[in-house]
This record gives sequence, C-alpha cells and structure tokens, in this order.
Amino acid sequence: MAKLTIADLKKIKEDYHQGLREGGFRAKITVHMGTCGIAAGARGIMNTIMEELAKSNLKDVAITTSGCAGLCSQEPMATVELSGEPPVKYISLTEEKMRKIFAEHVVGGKPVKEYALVVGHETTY
Amino acid sequence: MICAGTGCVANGSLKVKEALETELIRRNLQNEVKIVLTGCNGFCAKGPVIVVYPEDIFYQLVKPEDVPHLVEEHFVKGRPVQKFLYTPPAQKDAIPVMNEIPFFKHQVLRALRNRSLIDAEKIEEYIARDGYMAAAKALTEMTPEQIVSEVKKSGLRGRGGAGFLTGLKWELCARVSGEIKYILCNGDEGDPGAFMDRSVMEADPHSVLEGMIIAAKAINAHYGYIYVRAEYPLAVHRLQLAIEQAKERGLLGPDILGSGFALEIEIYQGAGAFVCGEETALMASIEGKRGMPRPKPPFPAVKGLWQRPSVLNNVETFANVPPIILHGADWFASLGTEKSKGTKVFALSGALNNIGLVEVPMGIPLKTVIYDIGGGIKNNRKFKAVQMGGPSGGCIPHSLIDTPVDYENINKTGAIMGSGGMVVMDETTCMPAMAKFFLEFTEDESCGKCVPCRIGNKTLLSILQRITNGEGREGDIELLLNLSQQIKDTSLCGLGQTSPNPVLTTIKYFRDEYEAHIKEKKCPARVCTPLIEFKVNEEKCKKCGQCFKNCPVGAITWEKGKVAYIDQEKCTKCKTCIKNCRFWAID
Amino acid sequence: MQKMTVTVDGKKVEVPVGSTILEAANAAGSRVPTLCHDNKLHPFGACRVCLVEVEGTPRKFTPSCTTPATDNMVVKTSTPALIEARRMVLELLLIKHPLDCPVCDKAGECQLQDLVHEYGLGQSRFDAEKGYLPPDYESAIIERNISRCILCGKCVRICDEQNGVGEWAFTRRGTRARISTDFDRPLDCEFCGECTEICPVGALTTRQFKYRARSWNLEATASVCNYCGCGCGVSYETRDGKIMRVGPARNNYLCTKGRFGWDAVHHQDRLTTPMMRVGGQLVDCTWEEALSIVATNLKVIRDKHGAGKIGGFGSVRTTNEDSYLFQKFLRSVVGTNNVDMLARIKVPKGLNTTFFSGELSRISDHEVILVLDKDVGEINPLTGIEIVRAVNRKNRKVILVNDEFNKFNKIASVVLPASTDRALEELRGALSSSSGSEEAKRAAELLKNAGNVAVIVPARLSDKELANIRELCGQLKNVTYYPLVRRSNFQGALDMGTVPDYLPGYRKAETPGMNAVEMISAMNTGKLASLYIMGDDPAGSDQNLKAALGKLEFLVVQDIFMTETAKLAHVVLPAAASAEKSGTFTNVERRLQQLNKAEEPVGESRPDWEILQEIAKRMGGDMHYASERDILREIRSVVPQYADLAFGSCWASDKSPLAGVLADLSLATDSIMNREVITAERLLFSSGMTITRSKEIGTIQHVKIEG
Repeated sequence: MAKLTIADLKKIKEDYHQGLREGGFRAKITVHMGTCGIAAGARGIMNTIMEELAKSNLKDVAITTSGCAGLCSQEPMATVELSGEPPVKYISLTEEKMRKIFAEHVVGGKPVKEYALVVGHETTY
Repeated sequence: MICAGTGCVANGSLKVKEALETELIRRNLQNEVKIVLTGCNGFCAKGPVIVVYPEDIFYQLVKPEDVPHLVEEHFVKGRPVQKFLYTPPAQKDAIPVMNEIPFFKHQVLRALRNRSLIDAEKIEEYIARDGYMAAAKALTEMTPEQIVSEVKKSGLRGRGGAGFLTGLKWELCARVSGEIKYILCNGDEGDPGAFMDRSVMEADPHSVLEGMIIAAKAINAHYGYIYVRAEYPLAVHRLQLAIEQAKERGLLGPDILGSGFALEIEIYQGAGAFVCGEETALMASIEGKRGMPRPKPPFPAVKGLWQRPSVLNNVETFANVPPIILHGADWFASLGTEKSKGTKVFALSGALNNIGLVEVPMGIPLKTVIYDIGGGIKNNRKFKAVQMGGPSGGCIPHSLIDTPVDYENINKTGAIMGSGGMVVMDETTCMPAMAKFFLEFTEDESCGKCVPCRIGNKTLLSILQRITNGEGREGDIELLLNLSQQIKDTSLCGLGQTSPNPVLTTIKYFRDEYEAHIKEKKCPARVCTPLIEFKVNEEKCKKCGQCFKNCPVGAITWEKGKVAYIDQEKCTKCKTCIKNCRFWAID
Repeated sequence: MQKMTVTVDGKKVEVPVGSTILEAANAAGSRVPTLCHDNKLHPFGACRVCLVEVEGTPRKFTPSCTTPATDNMVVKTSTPALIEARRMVLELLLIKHPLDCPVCDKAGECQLQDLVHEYGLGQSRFDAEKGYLPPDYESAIIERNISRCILCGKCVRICDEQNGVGEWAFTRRGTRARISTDFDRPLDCEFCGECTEICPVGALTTRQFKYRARSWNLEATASVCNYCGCGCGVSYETRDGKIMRVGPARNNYLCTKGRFGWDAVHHQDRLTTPMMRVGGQLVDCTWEEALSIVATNLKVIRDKHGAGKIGGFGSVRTTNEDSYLFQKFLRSVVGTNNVDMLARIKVPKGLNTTFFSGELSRISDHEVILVLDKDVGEINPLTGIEIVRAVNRKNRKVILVNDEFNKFNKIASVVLPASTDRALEELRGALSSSSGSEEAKRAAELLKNAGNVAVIVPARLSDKELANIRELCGQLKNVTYYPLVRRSNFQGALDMGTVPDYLPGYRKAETPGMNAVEMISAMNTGKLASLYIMGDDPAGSDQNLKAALGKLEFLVVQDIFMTETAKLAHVVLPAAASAEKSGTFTNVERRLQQLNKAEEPVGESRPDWEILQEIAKRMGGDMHYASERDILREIRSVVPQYADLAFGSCWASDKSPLAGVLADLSLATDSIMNREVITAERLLFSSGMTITRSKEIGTIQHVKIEG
C-alpha cells in the first residue's frame, strides 16, 4: 500500500464524508463491540442484524462496529442512523428486540421508542 | 458551536460563521457568545448545523441570511427559534435527546472523542475524524520544543494516577541527550474496577498511536512500546491491527507522512502483574526481567528502558494529546480547574444504576458524577462512599459528596484521582471489610521486594482479618494507623506508598464502624459473618415475611403479623435474609 | 575528581561527585545500617533500613544506598522518626524469621541478629508466624532455609552481576516471594558458594560447615588458595588447630575449589609416614631410614653413573621456597642441571616471553576484552569473574570466541561461534581487509576503536595460533595479555629456576641439563638412572609413562597423596599440604603472596623444603635454613625481581630478561597440544589430583551438567 502524505489524509477524510452522504448508504447500524459489549452478547446482535439484512435483500444498509459506548451496564447496544437523521442509540438489546428495530427502524424508518435510550450525538470537545 | 465538518462547510457553514460573528459584534455580544468550530456533528444532511450551549439547542439548515433573526431571538430574547430546531422526523419529542439524559448531558468527550463513531479496525474512519492531522502538524510544522511547550501550556497531567505534568515529563527527557530513546505507553491497567484504558485501546487505538508519534517527536524517540496486559485480548488485537494499518500507510515506520521522522512501535504483552503498571517495573518487564520496581532516581527520563532515556505515559494521556496539538493549549485548558485541566475518563462501577465509562470536565462535583451521570444508587439504597483510585486510593464518604473532581481536591480527601476507577458503595458495604478486600489485593500483588510493602501489607491484612472475624483487639485501630503511615513512608514504589490508603481513609471516615467491630463485636453493614448473630430484632421487624420467603434452607419461621424467628440449628449463615430485609431487622 | 560537599548529621564532608548518600554518610563517620546493600553489587533499595532524612525533599525518608548525594545536601541519619522506621522494618522481618539462632550456622555473623540487637527490639506488636517452609537440602554443598530469608536479593544479584550465572532468582510474589532456582530444581551452577558468603542471614548456608563450629570460636589464618594460578586470598578458619571452613581473606571472590576444596587436606589418601620398597612392597619406615636411603642411593648412583644420570621433576604446587631449594638441591648438592617441571609440556608457548599477565583486577579497565578461551571461567575462575564484572559494572565490551554456549555468551557483545583457530583467522581478515562474517566485522570494529584491549590467551595454543595472536595484537592499541595458568605456583617455580636452562631469576645456565621431555626419553633409553619427583604425578596423568618410570634404578617421590607415581617409587616421602605450611606463592600476575600455616602437617608429613634440606645434609650439602623465611631471604638476594618485592605486589614484566626474547619456557608442541584431551566432565570440578580428593566437591558430580 502506498504511503500517505498529508494531502492524502485530507482526501481520505473528504472522500469518507462524501461517501456517506452521497454515494453511500441509507442506513448505518453500529454495534458497540468493546469487551463489555461482547461479553453482554453483542456478537449475537451482530449475527441477528446480518441475518435480517440477508433476508431483507437491502443493499443500502451499512453495518459496522465500534468500541464501548460508555454505558456498560446497558449493553448490548447498537446505534441506528438513517441518512439525514440523527442517530438513535438502543440499549439492553436482545435478538428479538434487534429484529424489531431492524424491521421498524431500519426498514420502516420509524425508531422503536421503547428500546431507544437517546437520540443525537454526544458532546465531543 | 458551528459544525465545520466537511459536509457542513460544503453547505456553507463558514459563511454562517462569518454572518454570526458580524451579527454578534453588531449587537455587542462578542464577549458573551463564543463561537467554536467543531468537528463533524454527524448531521451532515441537515447542515449547516449550529449547537448552542449551555442549553444544547440544535439548529439545522441555517443560512447566513437567517443569522440576524436567530441572534435576535435566541441570544437577545432567549427564545429558541422553532423554525430551525431539529425535530426527529418520525415522531415528535418521542425519544429523548442527549441533553435530556443526565448520563450524557454532563459528559464531554475528548479522550473518547471517537466513541461509538468509528470502527476501531478501520484506519480510514479514524482519519475521517481528523485522525493523524495532529501528527502531521507536529511532524511538519512544529519543533520538538514547540510540541513540549504546547503540551506544557495545556496543563495536561498524567492520567495514569499521579498527575505529573505531561509536558514537563517530555521536557525532562527531551533535554537528556541520547542516541536512543524510548516512548512507552502504559496499558497495564490493573486496578479493580478500572477499564478506561481498555476501552480507549479497543475503541480508538489510533488515537494512542498518534499521541505516541507526537510525543516521540517531542523527545526524539524512534522506538516505542505499548505495554498491554495479556488479559486484554481485544485491545491487543485492535492495537496490533492499528499498528499494521498505520505502518502500511506510512503513518508509522521509517518516514512518517514523508516528514523523515521515524517511529517503530511494538506491543509488549504483560503477564498481568499489577505491579508492572509501576513505571520502573514495567520497563524491567519489557527488558525480560522480573517485574520489580527499582528506586528512583535515576528517573526514567534519564535512565529508563535498557538504561536509555524514556518517557512513559498512560493510554488516556496519549489519547488526549492529538486534540491539544490540533486545537491548541488554550482550547484544552478551557475546560477544568486551575491546576487540573481538560477532562477525565472514569469507570463507574459498584452500586450505581449506570455502570459505564464516562468522560467529564475536571472540577465537576462528585455528586453530579454519582447522582446524575451514575443515575444514583441501585435499589433505592443510600450512598455510603466511593472508592477512587483503586487499591492505591481511598474512600470518599457522603459528607464530601460536593468535592470537585480534580487532582488537588480529591487528594485532600485522602483518596487519589488514580487512573479513573470509581467504585461506588452503598450502606450494605462494610468499610473494614472493604479495606480488607483491597489489602488482600495489594498483599497478593506486592512484588515482595521491599520489606514494608511485602510484610507490612500482610500484617495490615492480618489485623483487618482479625477485626472482621470478631477477634479485633483494643489498640488495633492505632496499630493500623501507625503501621499504615510507616508503610507509606518507607516503601520503595508507588504500590507500597499508597497501599494503606484504603485503611487510612476508612478509619478516617468510618472509625465508628471499626470500633463497632472491635468493641461491640458487631458489623453495622451486616457483612462480616462471624459478627452477625442471625437473630431477628423484634423492634425493627415489620413482620413482612421477606426473610421467611427467601430463606433457601427453611431456617426461618414466620406467620402473618408475627415477628420472624431464625432457627440457629438450620441457619447456614448465607445472609439471604439480611439481603432481603428492608428494615435492617436482622442482627 | 570533582568533589561536592554534603552535610551528614551536622558534619560537612567532601565526597566525589556521583557518590551515594550512603557513601557520604560513611565518609562522615555516621553509621547507616544496611541489609540488602553490598559494595560489590548495584544498589537495590529493598530492605529500607538505610533510610535517611534529606532536607527539602518531598518524601519523608530517602533510601541512602540508591540515592545519589548532591552538592550542599543536608542529611540526617538517626532522627527518632528514622529509628522508629528502622525498628518497624526489623519488627516486620521478625514476624516470620524463625529466631532459631542457636542452631543457625550464621549466628554471630548474622546482620539481622546484629541489627535487632543494636536497635534493642524486644516484645513485638505483631503476632509471630514462624516456620512456613521446610529447609531445602536438595542441592549439593549449599542448603537453603527459606524461612530465614529476608529477601535482600544479594544472592540473586551476586550470582548474576558478579558470576554471570544467574542461578538464583526471585519467584512468586508478595509474602510468597522467595529465592529459588528454575522450577525449584536443585542447584546446577558453579557452586562457588558466593551466595552463602553474602547472605546476611542463615538462609543460604554450606553443608560443609553445618553444625561444625560457632563462628565466634574460629581463628582466622590468611593464606593463598592452591588450586589455580589466580592465587586468591583465603582465610583458613580453624578451631583447636583444625580447619572448619575457608572464606575469602579480604572480601574477595572464591570459587568452589577455593572455598570447599580444602577438605582434600584431610583425605584418607594423605601420606602420613615415609615408605620404602621392601621386597617389591612399599612399607612404612622411619624418617631416618627413608632419608638415609635416599641420600645414600643418590650418592651411589652419582658415583657410579655421574650426576648427569640423575634428574628431578619439580612441582607447580609447592611454595617458592620449596622450589628454590629443590633446584638448589639438584644443582649444588647432586650436581646436575637436569631439573624441570612436567607442567611445561602443557603450558602455551610465549608465556613469560610474549605473554606477561596483567593484573586481574584491572581487566575491567580495558574497553574491549577479547576472550580467546571459552573455558576461562573453568580454568581460572577469578579471571572469568573479572570479565563478568567488567561488563556488568563498567559496561565493557566482550568479544567471545566460543563454538559452544556458556555463561559468557550472555554478556558478550560479539560472539564468534568458531574454534579459536578459525576465529583468529577470521579476526585477522576482518581487521586487515574488512572481510569475513558479520560477527567478525563487528568484532574488528570494536577492536579497532578500542583505546586498550585485554586479551585472554587460550590455555592451549598451537604455533599457528600463537603467530596469529601476535599479528592480530600488533594491530591493536595498548594490549594487555591474560594467559590462563592452571597451576597455583607455576610462575613461582619458573622464577625459582625449576628449569634446566635457567637459574633462579632467569639467569642462563652455563650447561643446561635435560628438560622434561628429554628426561622422559632418557628414562626409556636408560640414560637416566634416578629421578626425584617432588609434588607431581606423571603416571597419574599419562599411563604410558609408567613403563619409563619402571625402568629407573631409583625413584623418589615426595608428595601429599599416594599417587600412581608414588606407587612406583622406591622411597615415598610424605609432604605437608599448602594449608599446613608457610611460605610464598607467585601467582599468574607475578604477585608475591604469603602462605601461613593453618594446621599442623598430618601424621609425620613435613614441608618439602625441610625434607630436601635433611637429604642434602646427609649428602654433605651445606644447608642450614631455620625456616622458610631464611630461604626467602636468600631468594631475595639471588633473584633480582624479588629483591625488594613486597608481599602482595607484582614484579614488573619489564624486569624479566626474557621479555620479548624468543626463548620459550613452554615445552609444548602442536602434537601435545592437540593430543591433550580433557577427560574431566567439567574442568572446574574434576581436573586435578587434589580436587578429585575433595569429598565436598565430589558431591557435585551427581548434578546434571549443562550440555
């Protein structure tokens, strides 16, 4: 792989945001997979999402992971972000809950209120 | 705060900023309202986005021409402008927003800035959030002296516990001449109830690498080690991946970003000895020797790893460095107190409703952390104390709940800031037993090198054991105090110098509990089994029958409206009845 | 040297920059107790009894052994707070320490015992917890009593820092921490016993001394070890005239032979009475009978065949006085220059002509040490120790030639994994033309840049190797040679003229006699009728010599043991061992050293010089030395190098008439060098007729030897 220059860094950043906004996905699901999340069953949640995605034949849903979301006692957690809308954090997930979220929020576009903790981004800096 | 992420800039956020500045000056509000350009907010589709603090009001799709109206309404009249307010598309005011949830409301993420936003295994995602821009700046635009001075000016202090000024540490090492120097990262997080560093390494490994690159440039080191305990396999995996990705892309290796600066970083897995978190022991461990501390001086800045000048910083400290370089020392120092700048990550555990990882500005009242962020005590119990700083720290009782969380004020209580573990205890915690628990830990983890720590802690533990066994003697409290102070004064390394803190602080704040154990042979928290009679107190018993219903061995007899009775023959002293009695009626 | 001023307990002292607070306190005459500190070792800072108070430091107490003093520092060493802290440390140590002082061999010289006494500790505030681990008797020679251990780490450190062995280590943690070997197996080391010597308590003790005597009842006699050319100072510690144990004379290193091998003196094979051959059997006789027979027979043979048919093999283990008298007896009483030492056959060429040894303690002054003999630590253990010290204390660089693996590999900067022969070729190539292997090039780089170099000359050396060393060293700056010499007084015997062609002091003999090789062939051809052997065992080291010795008309053997050679003798004369006599040795450094008698000679045995004088008198010789002192006086008048040589000093190599001369004191040939096969498993434990008679060292052979 080619070594990066500083200009490359900026380009990667732009491409990345460009990709998300335009050419990219309608929905992004982030499963929080730190040690705490995994211990609480995040892998099962991840598998459920994959299964649902396969069943749904949707091509515009991105699935990704990130680390601990901070609220370890409420793991497993996942964040669903639809294009043009702020992300919604779901807590204390089970596979059943995740299926419902997938159907109603990811596919249907309506957040599942009873499983959601919060909407929006955390304060950084 | 105006989003200056690429998306919003493309949508004209900089123009909005200009308009806002003009309007504020026109209305002479420039000193009241501060404009901050932020990184991407994530709401790119609704950009330009403005968030107004402290109310945390979120405006979207703001155009320059809207600004005068917005300033007039919001800043002058104090009325949020409905037109630009963000409303969740599907349902109105259904799911609470961040600011409505105390857990999130009080947090400011700096070290954890990429929390839940990036995939730790994809370097692009880190780069997309300004990753490696600070390294780029440090490597190409700054001299080592400038880096040191910026970090010094920021007031960043070591997040591993002792709180030494990071910039000063770097400066000391930078001044030492030496062909080979080492930059070391301490990821040997070992305090019971602490998992801050693990989370950073797992969720944002590149932030650690970037911090190390900047530090390496500052001290002119070209080799680095990250010491991670082997019990953190995911952290090791993600760091390893991060190092490989960074190397492939020339962000580590011989010529970083074409700057000519070289840095190689390796991971060293520790075998899990607590004492290896002590810097000289950690270095001995990397050298392949027994992880045993040595006296300082010589300090690692002069003679560290393999007798070479070295700087060792904690994971969280490194994670804090890139934003300082990117946004400047003043920005960093804008949060925090006079001597404790920035934010601190804490791992909340114990009797709280919200267990987790939080990052708060220094100086935040302890109360806010426990009651707001932590969500208060589980099961409607009473807050008793919080253990800060793990086995090296001390407890802070309810009476000091207003203490601001910063290095100086926490030290005043007898506890220490430590690496960020907060173990919260409710009224069912016995303080002598808690002190015993931590002494068991330090006694086990002492390397055994110096006499006071090796035998002194064991002796403290024996005394605590007899107190909690109901065999405490007159004078034991004084003996504990005397021995504790001596161990602190005479031990070789930080472990022994702090290990009696749990004993000292519990005696300081809960001496009556010790006295109850020793003199009355009673454990007020009903924890120390040998001191519990397992008899129902007829005055306190509300005849609810919870003890009867929950007793697993049928040792309790009870009839509606009558005081329960425990059959001593059948009782196994499992304490289930005590846990289920809401009225402290079992003595 | 730059100085700084430190105020200790109100007294101002000047100490060199870099001194520790402890050193400053010692200079000021303030007593600061220590348990884990030893000047031989790097500071450790574990025991915490050396804490002091330093004005203006953030912490209440400062460890004095590890903290450097600074200019104008103000130190207090015995405030009430410090006394209290030290008392606490001792009180904590005594919780577990068994206080079995009545049966502890360390009692009386135990630093813990002394400190507890000094600080007057009585009643403890803490409950005692005694005897949690049983003693360990698994190892040869050394016993371990973990319960007594205070974990000062001195054994661990001396074994690593000084010996380069690293047999002891800390294992486990906290109160369960202990000193141990890998997986708690029995010791498999050099068994030098330095760990027992440095142990401040009775945790490591020697089996040899167990329950033998109380330390305060012992009388010390300073003398010199007889086991190799290093000539380490020993202290024979005796009770009622019997050796109970041996320690270092001046806090110096001792190897296993020096510390434990002395018991060979008490071996049952010691000759206790003179013997003479009667009817083919050796039978006990009186001194008068034995001396008369020797004197008479030598006179008869001289008269019959001429003095040229009589010869003598001197010894490399007897004192200078013995050797001097031996050659004088043969030359002036018997009248022959046929005097030599068999050991010359096995010493490398160039010794005392090209290779004059430097002082061992100065090996570490050299920037680079070129070790051409991997067995240096086995042949001359002290030389090996000095190499390790040079690396660990002064960061010197070692270039090691070793086609196997041993402890020196761990400290070497460059290892040339080849035979000495090959390695020398490679080094020469790398030095002159920068060719050869990476290792050779790196070694050449180090050698070239070194301001001075110490070269450890191999014990075996072919002519080609000798030439290569000369050429190689010709290209280096300030070379000091360190030849390896196996036998204790080889140097002294040479100086005393126990060679056919040189009289004492290397004066050329006018008519040189037969050398050892010539004498052996003369025996076979009947050209030698009689041989007087003092302190050597040719038949024992080479079976083939038995036949030649058997052809002699008259063989006298004077020795301390009934050796293979003695069994062939016509008269056997019992000699006193080195512990049983006084006199001098000259070690490999050409250092004049004093032996002092620690025990009376066993049985009827007598010092060699006395026996020789008695025979000389009976042959009409003019010898009237009242003591070995008289002989030394004569040596000083005859041997210029010894004229005003003080005890403990080395004679300068440039005083030798042979310096740089092509004369060779070695009789070795390539074929001898190549033929010599070391049969012992390890040279350190089993290469010599004396050491194999040490009961104590004999116990080591059951331990696994590393391949």
